[in-house]
Amino acid sequence: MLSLLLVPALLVAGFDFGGKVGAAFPAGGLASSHTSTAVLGAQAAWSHERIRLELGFGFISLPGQQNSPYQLTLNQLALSCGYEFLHRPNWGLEAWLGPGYAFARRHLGSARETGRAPFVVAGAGVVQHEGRSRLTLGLENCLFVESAAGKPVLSDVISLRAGVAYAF
Amino acid sequence: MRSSRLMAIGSLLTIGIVALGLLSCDTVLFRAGQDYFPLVPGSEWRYAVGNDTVTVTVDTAPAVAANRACTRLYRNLAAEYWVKSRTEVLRLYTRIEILPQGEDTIEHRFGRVYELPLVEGATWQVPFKDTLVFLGTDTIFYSHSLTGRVAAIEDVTVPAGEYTDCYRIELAEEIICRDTTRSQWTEWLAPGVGIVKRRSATTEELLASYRKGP
Repeated sequence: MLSLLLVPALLVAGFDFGGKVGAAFPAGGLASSHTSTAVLGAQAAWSHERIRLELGFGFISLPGQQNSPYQLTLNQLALSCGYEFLHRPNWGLEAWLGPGYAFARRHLGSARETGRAPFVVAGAGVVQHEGRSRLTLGLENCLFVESAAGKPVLSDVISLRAGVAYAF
Repeated sequence: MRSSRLMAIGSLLTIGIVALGLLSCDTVLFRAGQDYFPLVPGSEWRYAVGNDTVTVTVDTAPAVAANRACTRLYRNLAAEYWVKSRTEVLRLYTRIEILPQGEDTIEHRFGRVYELPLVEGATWQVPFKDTLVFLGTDTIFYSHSLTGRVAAIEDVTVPAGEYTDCYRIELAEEIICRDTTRSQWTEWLAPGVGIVKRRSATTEELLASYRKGP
């Protein structure tokens, strides 16, 4: 009976699950026709010593400027690798980097355009460990890479995010 | 040492996955960040219309028309007044009719030409109606409506070059005064350039050159 309980415990050892909230700020060309908005997301991660691998999902819905019924929504899936370069017993400083893929949708009233774009996520923040809880506060940049007329074009969204996770 | 190796592997993996992702990406975010109707002072567009050339320039001096700050364009030296906001592009419509008591302005207002931002499938309709009374008894019913539709996203090749991610916009205008005038035309707007092609039942304008203002 005890071994049956130990198996799932060992399987999830080093794993944590949680959610994140924050604010996203369009930058570059996107800033001319979009305003800031909230970010919602969830993530699952595996940590070993100072290394952390995270699979995260984020949802951003950037509204248009003024009172336009326009919106740009992004559903993002990212796999990032983090490293806690400053490690203290209860807190640390972490930087993360990884690839991601976004499903984008622009809509104005009933008109819709959809598309996909790969992106690079890079961020840094403060981490606090307390028992089984893990709190993070950081700044993150999603750099979207697209190809227009054979040339790479970049768009980015900067976000300030706070996350909470439960470590098993 | 081990962590730096892991970070290097992670970075290479990131570049690899993003490069693979580029093979199946669209340009939806590129279009979302582009200006499809730039009115930069000093800009100049030259269009080939059959054997003729139409030159459109943006005046560098600020202008006021119909009590509004606006941008003045010259189309072969004829002035046009435009207002661009983040949600629409307006044009000054002026119509003068010859009435029994002389010339009279029956329309002088800014009306929407494009709804921004451009999204494929978007439609807009801008009706304007007025009833004019002259000499105390006679009346003229006046109506001017413009409908627009973002029909498609296309690549366009014109003498000035090849433009990708252009919006094809279909416009229809109806003016009812003493008689009814209907016209339809299609425009292709390129990112960062503006109108690169315009086609109506009788003419076709193709962008021959574009120079962005300083």
